[in-house]
Amino acid sequence: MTIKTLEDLDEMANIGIEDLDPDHPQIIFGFATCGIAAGAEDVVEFTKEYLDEKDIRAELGAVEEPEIKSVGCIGMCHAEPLVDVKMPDKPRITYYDVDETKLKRIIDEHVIGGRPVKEYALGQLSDELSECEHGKTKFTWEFEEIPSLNEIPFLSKQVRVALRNCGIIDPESIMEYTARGGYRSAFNALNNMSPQEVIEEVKESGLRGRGGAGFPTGLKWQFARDAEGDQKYVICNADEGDPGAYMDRAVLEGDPHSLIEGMIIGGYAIDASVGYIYIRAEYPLAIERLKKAIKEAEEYGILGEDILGSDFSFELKIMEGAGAFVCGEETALMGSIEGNRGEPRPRPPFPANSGLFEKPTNINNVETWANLPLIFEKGAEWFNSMGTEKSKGTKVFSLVGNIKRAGLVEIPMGTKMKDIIYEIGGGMQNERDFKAVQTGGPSGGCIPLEHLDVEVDYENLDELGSIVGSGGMVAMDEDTCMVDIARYFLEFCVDESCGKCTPCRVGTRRMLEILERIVLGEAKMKDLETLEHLAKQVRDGSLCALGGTSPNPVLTTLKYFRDEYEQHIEHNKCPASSCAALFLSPCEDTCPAGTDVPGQMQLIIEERFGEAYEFQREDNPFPGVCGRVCDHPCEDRCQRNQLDRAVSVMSQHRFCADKVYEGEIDYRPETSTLEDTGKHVGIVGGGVTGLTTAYFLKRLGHDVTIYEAKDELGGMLRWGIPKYRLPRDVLDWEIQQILDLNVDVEMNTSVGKDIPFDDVLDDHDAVFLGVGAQKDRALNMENEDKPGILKGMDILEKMNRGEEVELGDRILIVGGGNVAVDMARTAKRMGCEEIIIAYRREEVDMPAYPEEVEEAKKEGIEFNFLLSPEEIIVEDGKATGMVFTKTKMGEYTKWGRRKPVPVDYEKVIFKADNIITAIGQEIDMSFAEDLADKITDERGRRLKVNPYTMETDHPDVFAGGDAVLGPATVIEAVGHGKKAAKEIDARLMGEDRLEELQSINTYEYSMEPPDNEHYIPRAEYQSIPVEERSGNFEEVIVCMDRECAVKEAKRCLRCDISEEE
Amino acid sequence: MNIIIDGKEYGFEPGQKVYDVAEENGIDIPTLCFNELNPDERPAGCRMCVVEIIDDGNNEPNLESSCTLPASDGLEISTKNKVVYDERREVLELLLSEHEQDCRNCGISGDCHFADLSLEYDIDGVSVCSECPNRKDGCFLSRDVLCLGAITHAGCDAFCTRNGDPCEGCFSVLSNEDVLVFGLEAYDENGFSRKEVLESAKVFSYEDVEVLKRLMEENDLLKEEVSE
Repeated sequence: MTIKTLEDLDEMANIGIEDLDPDHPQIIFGFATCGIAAGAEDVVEFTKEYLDEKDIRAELGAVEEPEIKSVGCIGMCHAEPLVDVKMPDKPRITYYDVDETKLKRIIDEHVIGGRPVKEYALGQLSDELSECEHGKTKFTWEFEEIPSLNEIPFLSKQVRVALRNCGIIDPESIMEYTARGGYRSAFNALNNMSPQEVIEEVKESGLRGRGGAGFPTGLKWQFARDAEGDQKYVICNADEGDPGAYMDRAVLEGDPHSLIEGMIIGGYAIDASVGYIYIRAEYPLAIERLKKAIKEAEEYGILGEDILGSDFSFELKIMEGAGAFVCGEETALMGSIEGNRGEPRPRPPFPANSGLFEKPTNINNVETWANLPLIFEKGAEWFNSMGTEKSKGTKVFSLVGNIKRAGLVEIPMGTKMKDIIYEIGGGMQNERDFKAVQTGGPSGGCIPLEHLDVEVDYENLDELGSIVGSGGMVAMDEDTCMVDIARYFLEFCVDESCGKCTPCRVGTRRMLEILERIVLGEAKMKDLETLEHLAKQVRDGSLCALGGTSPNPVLTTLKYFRDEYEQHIEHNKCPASSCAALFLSPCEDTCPAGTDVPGQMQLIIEERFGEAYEFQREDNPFPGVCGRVCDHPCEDRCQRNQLDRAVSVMSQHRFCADKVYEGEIDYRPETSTLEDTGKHVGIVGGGVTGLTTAYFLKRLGHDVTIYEAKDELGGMLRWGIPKYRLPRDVLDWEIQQILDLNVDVEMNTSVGKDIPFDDVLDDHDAVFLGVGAQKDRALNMENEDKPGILKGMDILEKMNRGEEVELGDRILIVGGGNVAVDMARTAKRMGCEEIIIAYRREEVDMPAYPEEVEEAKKEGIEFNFLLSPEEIIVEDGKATGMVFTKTKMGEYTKWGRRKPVPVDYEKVIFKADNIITAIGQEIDMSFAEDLADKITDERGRRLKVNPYTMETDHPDVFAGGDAVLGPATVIEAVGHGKKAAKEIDARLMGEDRLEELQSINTYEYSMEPPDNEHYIPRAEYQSIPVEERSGNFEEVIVCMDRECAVKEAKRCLRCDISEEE
Repeated sequence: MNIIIDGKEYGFEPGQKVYDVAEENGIDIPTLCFNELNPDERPAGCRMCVVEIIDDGNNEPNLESSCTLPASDGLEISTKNKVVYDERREVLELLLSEHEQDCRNCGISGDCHFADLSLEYDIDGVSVCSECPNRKDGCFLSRDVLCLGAITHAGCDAFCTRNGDPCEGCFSVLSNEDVLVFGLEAYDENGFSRKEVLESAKVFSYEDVEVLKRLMEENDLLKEEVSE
């Protein structure tokens, strides 16, 4: 059959519609490379067997057996294998993550029973999905309980133009392609438009090259049309080589005819009679389908002589490339087709004038070609109504990386990056924080969190130093080391450099050597300068775009994450705990105190609990406290998270401490100390930081005096943390162990009041300020001083002292930190009936620990989010309630937190007997006012120190803890104390002696790699029932038993064992 | 039809490349991968002949290889500014970073275009051996004569050695320590003592001697002290 008229096409379309909506059941498999990789072949095999076994024809009473059919990839790689079921006269239902069990049920219930399996269904296919309104096929039946596919989050924001047929039609059926309106655009262009009209239409559409550079397609065609030559060529660049980008493959495997149709239109416009498709040999399935499609098109007179009823002749040839990345560069690609080595050649001359075989040539990318049929079907205006001012239409991105819903997404240009990451992609895996997104493949750059609001188009990404490129989009979470990422992409470029020109061949290799030194911690700061210099020279001096853009990942990471490079070089620290050469294990590296977790786990396995306790005390004098109230950042970084869930490190700390406390141990080493030095250090503040500093300084041989303003030591641990979380006997015991080292304490001595700060300075060789931040921050609102309004920290201290606090029945707490939650839970125990917490951001933004929030919810505390305080209601001189403005989360700030912005006219009022403010604390510098200006930050809220040495601007004064960080965690405070002690000692003694101290006690334990890389459930916390909590302050979490602790310790993967050992 | 090179206008024939126009007018542009012996083969790979296209409205430097850049009317280029200089210097440094710098044993030593360019672009790491015509059997070191050429910065055109005298190091030692160590190995191989070399180097600089001493120790070179 030869297509000569529109009626011929209609006839084909009718056959296609029969295939898409047949009167027999169809089971349809996503059978592109991604589906096959996810196991589609096995699923098909199983289906056939299962159908045979069931004797399906008998059960169905059908004339025909269900047809097994394959389609391309719909883009939902995260949900593969995908299986669709299409029953006669019923909607087509898509099932995801299909395995044998699911398939059995789907066949039994849906294919045989006729009822879709709701739980496994992703959605039902509908026509809007493809933005294709030719009215030929109809997927528009409704099935009420199952959503339409274009309503599910992954697809709802997408507009599918290039991918319109992928995953919907059988790529090997030209009939189905015509049923979806195929070849009508080419027919129309060839028969009713002049070549120049075709070019004008493309220009009008604003389509730009989708291969990466974004050159206007219409203009490119015009150049090729205007060039003189007896023979002209069009080429499709299907040499898709960027790691992680596979949109071209999806089109080739899922809808090859749209590419062919696009090339026919292009060939006609520039008067080329031959077209080449240069496709990499690594895409065997794509080649196979493309060959079939070309053959079919030839059979129907769509390719060949006088095609589609016109007098235009066009043939298509496939060239298989051997997979060199550089062959994606147009001049190298043409060289490769000519049979030469794939190396770029200088432009000019441009391909439009002298391209393939030195003839005028037009080359476009697969996605560009695939856009064309729809532009001609729906008009240039439809296309250019989408997108931004300079970037029109849609672009396919392959969203990959640490993202929940990875896959191909086609979105209008100008969609915000955060919508792509969060709404389409569903955010980061394992609830990790987003860090950066790498766009444009190895030639692209990294875009940090602060630019997450960027509207994605050619210009905006360019401005940020990255590129749209072919559309790779790698989302990275906080565990990704940016130096390592730069190294990875550069390594790719080094491998793929064709070696022709010097800057790219040699320069990238020298850059890679520097990056390798950095990740091994062997680089110097001067290397960074060399790296940056080299990067710029390579960028400016290279012949082709491969060399010219290869330094981009380095340049953008240097621009946005320079600090990370510096930390690697200057402090041998990988902030993401990713560069394995720089630390013992990720948990140890993450712990601010540097606790050797794997070592402790091994000691627990060997049931040497006393040693395990003292082993931890080498780094942290508060194992029992941290075993209860730590926010355990180590567990977030635990490598076991990638297998099942983190080792329960915190409960292990507590277990060892409790065993020692209860005396159930055989042996515990003595705390190591160095000889007396005769130096004397004064410590202001007896909280966690001050006590830790004292502990380490005393062990290092210095005399220490702590000045504490209150009547007991412990600071926030005592006054801020309720007893049901931290029993006071444990706290007192661990403090006493520090005091037993002969630490002097001046109790009830407020520096500045009872003793002048200058005297403290004069009396000691150095002074450490661990004064904390305990002054409640004010709301700065009218009526804040009225009765009924209480300050969170104030009241919490009173409660923790056991003093009487008059509270009404209904309490409103403003704030979202630990103080707010502790307040609420304490008030509940004191008998308050109704407790409401109001916070201005969302739950995930709360600074309070999530497990505390969980427990609070169990205890009946009411949480309200997105409420910003506006006015205090006063009745009879007493505050009786508060008016809040509704907020919504606005744009990302530089710090990666979104700012709440008020929503106009939406107010919420809470009435309450008492209002407690707990919106954060700040430092009280009244003790040394003359020093205040010098050592506090610009807002006067915190002390300013060098974060690596804890020095203030005063030469003898060091500081740490909450006074520096603002309300911080216990372990951060311990970390500060340890660091400050180390630095003070180094200052006083002229050398770093901490290591010497820590090597006195030796702990020998097994360094055999464990065999535990399989699923082992995590030991969960056991807590006392909610009903037993009210009216008392019993500890809520229960210590685990011996057997359980050893079992849990055995889950540790022992990241501290390196391969050589 | 005129193009502007370094501020001056020059006429050209259609189809001519910028490099050829410059050459006709006596403007020097260095090349490596392309030379007169095969003027039609222009791979444009070495990037040594880059020139900057001035004022094309682009903020980033626009560098093109002049051997392939067609001359066009009104085109303004610079062959000598800092951007061009830096890029060419970088190219040479990168090539040198992959180059086995054994000028003493190299067949074209004494007439090396690459060494000349490296000197012209002030790249450290080229020794007097690169300029010395007495290679192989004629090398002083192989004749047991202490010549400091292997560790001395080139640039004198091997004045002494051309006149039959060994190098005395008046251009001072190389400051690139990697190349310096390589040079020191030559003395080690030929059986010179640490003392001899240091005594000889002392003539022109005491500071250099300290560097040499350190490198000899660090790399365990010339360890045998031959008594006189």
